[in-house]
Amino acid sequence: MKVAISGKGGSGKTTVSGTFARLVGRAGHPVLAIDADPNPNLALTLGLTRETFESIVPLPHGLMDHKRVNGEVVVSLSRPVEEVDAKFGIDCPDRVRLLLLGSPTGAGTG
Amino acid sequence: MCSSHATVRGLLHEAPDAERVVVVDNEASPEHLSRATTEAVDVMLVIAEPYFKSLETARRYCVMGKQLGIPRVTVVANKVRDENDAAAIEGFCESNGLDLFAQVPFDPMLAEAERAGAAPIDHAPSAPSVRAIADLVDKVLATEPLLATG
Repeated sequence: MKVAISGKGGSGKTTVSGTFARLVGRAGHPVLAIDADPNPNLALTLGLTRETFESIVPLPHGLMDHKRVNGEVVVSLSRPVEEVDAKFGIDCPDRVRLLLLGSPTGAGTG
Repeated sequence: MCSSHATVRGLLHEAPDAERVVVVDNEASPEHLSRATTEAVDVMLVIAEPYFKSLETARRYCVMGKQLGIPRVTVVANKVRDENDAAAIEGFCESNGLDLFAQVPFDPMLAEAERAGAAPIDHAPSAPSVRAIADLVDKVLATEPLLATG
């Protein structure tokens, strides 16, 4: 099952996301938590220390393949998700693994 | 094309949900929806605060989520202080045809946890907001087909 949590800035979506992920893990289901916010702070809500957070390596942009389908650019991971997770995932409490996506590379690219 | 959006899309299409639950904390702007990064999700929870601008934003997110074909798009009210807040959110959702799934109360503990540099669930596991999110988890796990149980 995949759950997306969205909301206006300041709505508390990251607090809900992190707590939600920890509680799903506590209920017995392994969790892959993906922080897709350019200003990422899901790690802290998941219970990682600031020290660990600072040491997190974001996903390299080269992990993706781009191809054009019906005029739209469709992107997929160039490596299997399990491999990406094994290399870049961070262990959090309650069976949660965190993948932190890189923020946009600079002005005009977002 | 923003690489960060692209990565999410790839992950969501390929994440093996038979093995675990994938939770995505989306960036705030509606861009991630228009770029279809979330199209492969089963459930979208749209967090809304009990004031008009936030509710109106949530409404737009819900419309976009449904356009993307996400099977379940639902509102979660957050920072609900009293019955007036609850009534405002319920009224808005009802008159706009939105599914209101859960309500999380305003909780001063969250600011305390932030100051302490701790996760809310570690800082105060039995705080009202954490309990409400636990109810939300139970409800999502009970209503969504889960292919495996770790």
